Amino acid sequence: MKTPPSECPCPGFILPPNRLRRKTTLSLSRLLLTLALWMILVANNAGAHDVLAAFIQHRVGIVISPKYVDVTVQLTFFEEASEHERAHMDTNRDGILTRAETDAYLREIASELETAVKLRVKDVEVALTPLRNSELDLLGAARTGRGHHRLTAYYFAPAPAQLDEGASFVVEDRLWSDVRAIASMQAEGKDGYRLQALPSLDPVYPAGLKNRPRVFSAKVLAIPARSPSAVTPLSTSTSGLKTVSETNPEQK
Amino acid sequence: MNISLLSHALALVVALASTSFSVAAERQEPNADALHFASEVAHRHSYLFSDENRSELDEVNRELRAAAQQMRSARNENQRERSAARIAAATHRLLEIMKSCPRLLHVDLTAKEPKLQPAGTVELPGYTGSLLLRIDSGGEGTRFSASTADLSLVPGESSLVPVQAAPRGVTYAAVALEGVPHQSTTLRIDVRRPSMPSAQLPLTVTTPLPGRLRLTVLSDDTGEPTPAMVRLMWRTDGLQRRPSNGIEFAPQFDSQGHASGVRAANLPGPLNAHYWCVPGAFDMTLAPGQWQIGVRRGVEHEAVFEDVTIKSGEVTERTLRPRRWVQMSARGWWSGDDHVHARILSDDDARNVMAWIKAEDVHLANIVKMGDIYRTYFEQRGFGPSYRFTDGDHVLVPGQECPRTPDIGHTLAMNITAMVRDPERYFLYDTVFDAVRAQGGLSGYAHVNSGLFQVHRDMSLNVPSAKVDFVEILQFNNLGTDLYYEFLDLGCKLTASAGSDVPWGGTVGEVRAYAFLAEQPFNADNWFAAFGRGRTFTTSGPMLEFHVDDALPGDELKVNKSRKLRVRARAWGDPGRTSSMKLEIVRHGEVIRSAESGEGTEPEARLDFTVDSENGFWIAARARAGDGTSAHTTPIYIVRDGLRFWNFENLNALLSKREESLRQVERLVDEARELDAAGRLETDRARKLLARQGDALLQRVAMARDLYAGLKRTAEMELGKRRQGSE
Repeated sequence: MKTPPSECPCPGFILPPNRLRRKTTLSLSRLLLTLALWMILVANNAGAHDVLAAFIQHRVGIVISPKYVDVTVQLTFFEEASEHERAHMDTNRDGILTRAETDAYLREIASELETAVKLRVKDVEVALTPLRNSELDLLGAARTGRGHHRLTAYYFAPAPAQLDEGASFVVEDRLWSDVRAIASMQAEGKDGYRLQALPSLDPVYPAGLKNRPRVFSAKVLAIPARSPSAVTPLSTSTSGLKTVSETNPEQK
Repeated sequence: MNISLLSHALALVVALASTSFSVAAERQEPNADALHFASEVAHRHSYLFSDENRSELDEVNRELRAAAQQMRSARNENQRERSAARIAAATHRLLEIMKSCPRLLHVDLTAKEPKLQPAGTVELPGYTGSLLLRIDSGGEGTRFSASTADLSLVPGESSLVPVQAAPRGVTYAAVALEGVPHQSTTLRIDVRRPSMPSAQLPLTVTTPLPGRLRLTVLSDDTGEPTPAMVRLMWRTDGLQRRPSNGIEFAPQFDSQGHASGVRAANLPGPLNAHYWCVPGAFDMTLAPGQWQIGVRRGVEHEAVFEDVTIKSGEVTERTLRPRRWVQMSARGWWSGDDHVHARILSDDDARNVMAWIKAEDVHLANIVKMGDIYRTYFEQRGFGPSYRFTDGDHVLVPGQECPRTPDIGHTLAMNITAMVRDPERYFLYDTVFDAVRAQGGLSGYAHVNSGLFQVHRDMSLNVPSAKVDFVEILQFNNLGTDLYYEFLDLGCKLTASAGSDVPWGGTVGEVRAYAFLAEQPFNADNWFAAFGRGRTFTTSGPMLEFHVDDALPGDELKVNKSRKLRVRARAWGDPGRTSSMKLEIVRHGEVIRSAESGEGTEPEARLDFTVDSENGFWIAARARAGDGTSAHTTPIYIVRDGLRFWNFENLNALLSKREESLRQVERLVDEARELDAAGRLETDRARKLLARQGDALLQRVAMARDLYAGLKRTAEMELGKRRQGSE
């Protein structure tokens, strides 16, 4: 993505916009998207892409190591939703998506990204923390209009102290819950953990799931020979943690 | 800890909290600067630090973020103090790491003239680089900032690098530089402070002379160079670069789907990273440093990941040979992808797609021209054997995905001699199925795994009359069998298939169907013949073998009386991709036996048992690997004389579902007719055509209903015999 430097290249110095306004804007945005997709469906405008273009692909990854549970949610927006979100990013309406605009978009949706993904371990909710700022990959097309783009959000939680074989991990994803989704999950265990992603009961979710999460599940097949107890994060090594290069193969 | 030490520590914590988070107090929420800074240095600027400090930075980032979240959710002062203490401790560690960084540049803004130390040039690693600055504005307080400057953009002054700093105190600033030119570039660091004039400092950055990489990927079968899926990732910034001969497929995708040559497979782990299809060896300049080369050659090969060091001015040669962990063709099974969209109007177009299927080791690709009621996409030169494009044991065969409607489903056709498409009969899918069969082709439904586009409606019309040969039950690495099992349970034979649906899917062959040719040589005709017999299994990872007595998937095993049948199955996978394997035998949709690979063993499971033939059934094998990939065979049909192999006990429920599907088709037609009668379809050609074709479609509904009524009568006739058989 070739974009000019951010007009204000230090997001940390920007006061976050009013949260209420942001949520209202987002809700309105979702509503408009839903309406747009509904109109497409109702009008039966069976154009080039039919309705597959209106889906968002949700890929949820979970990696368990002795110290952390890392959760990655990657959304690939197909044509309809991508076009809508791109239009939303293009605040100056020039058709070009600059870094300043995509950064602002990410800041705008940050709070929703933070709260819309939940983790339950053995049926108990575990607080997820954003591991770093979310990333937006316009997949080589920094412009408005139809295309695909990819949004990746990173989270983590401390690994539970007691994990048994068969323990369940459930990720609840409420992101763009009113848009149809194609869903899949990947699970990976490290340093002695073995995990299995459980097949989704419904790989394609219908629209209208507002406030109902898409559920992704995995279970622990094996634990390390000596299950490590909870440790103070700052006091031990970080073997088993993914590096940026492993988790975010952004294309240049 | 003694009292004085404790008080000292508390004083430090309070001091840090008050300096670093003075802004936070104003905002009533934790400071975002430090969080963003820590995240950026941990993930984008980590090359500036030692291995030990990199790990520490990751921990600090996590701790800061967890503590900040705790602060936000704190309900009382006590909790806030604890959070503040955590934040202060982590910030302290962050500052210690920054101070110890040998590449930290000091900007002194307290003097009359701003000064940058150490003086001289800063060497950047290559395409991108990082600057870590300690900006001293005088006074108390510590702040953080992080920013990005793309030097490839020229907004009048390309070398200006804006950096935000606090008006007082010390600001630690991390600047990510992108698009850095080769050799020497003079930048102007533009330090911007609120309500103060900016301070500009010249800084010369250099990049080392690039090196070169010559990469050749060899086929494990022939030892000769082969197309492959390749990724090049620079460890310094974690970003990938396009191989110099990476094929750009965008022009062949008609701006549809993910219209690009860079492909991320819908597969687990590193296989999901971005890869380019390279048709052969390449030689390109690269920035010096550590590079990860990733090579993927489809599911039958182990993926190769190798780090190489590119040195300035030197040529690095690598020859990689991804090892096969299985060769299914040697067992008589040949792979195909039933759903590949790509325009092929020239030999160049064909060579590009051929390179792709060879790279992914797919032997046959059904290259589908796509249509809807309005027009067509992904044009082809023609159809039939003379338009096949063959290279050794790989062949591209033009087919079609048409008709496709969101109302009654998408269809596929393979091995056709002409495209079958008539908008005036567009909703009458049976006319297409009949024409395809008359051409010697095979018809099927797309997206059955997910039930997209109401495909159950047309399946209810045309599957029971045996007009359809196959269904896609695996796509986007999602195995979906609900609809498949419903029709098998009605005693309808359907071949299991799989298609990637690129460019909406990730890459060709990420899911695939294997057809069993036994000893026959591979060619398109033999593949289609085997596929037409139902001798298939689909997979995104595991391999399957399945026999009932000597019967194979798709076979019908006739039994005169109830007897024992021997069931043998094996599921196995690439040990490098998955650590476990679960094998299940499914009869009438129910798992009757399963096996899992053992702890610490190869990912392989086997079953060998007997089952009573009873009154007949369909029986299939399916596998799920620990990495989330899966496989499924076409069933073997156990047919007792005079009986269907259906799920007799569930017949009423199954027929109710089909009746509901038929009613939905009727409602669809009724609605279209009503709108048309009201004159509201003048701009909606699709629905207008549906209204016009309504009578004919309703005739099909009536015929299907008759057929289901016939099945009910058959069930009544079977009742006595089944009772005898079960006694």
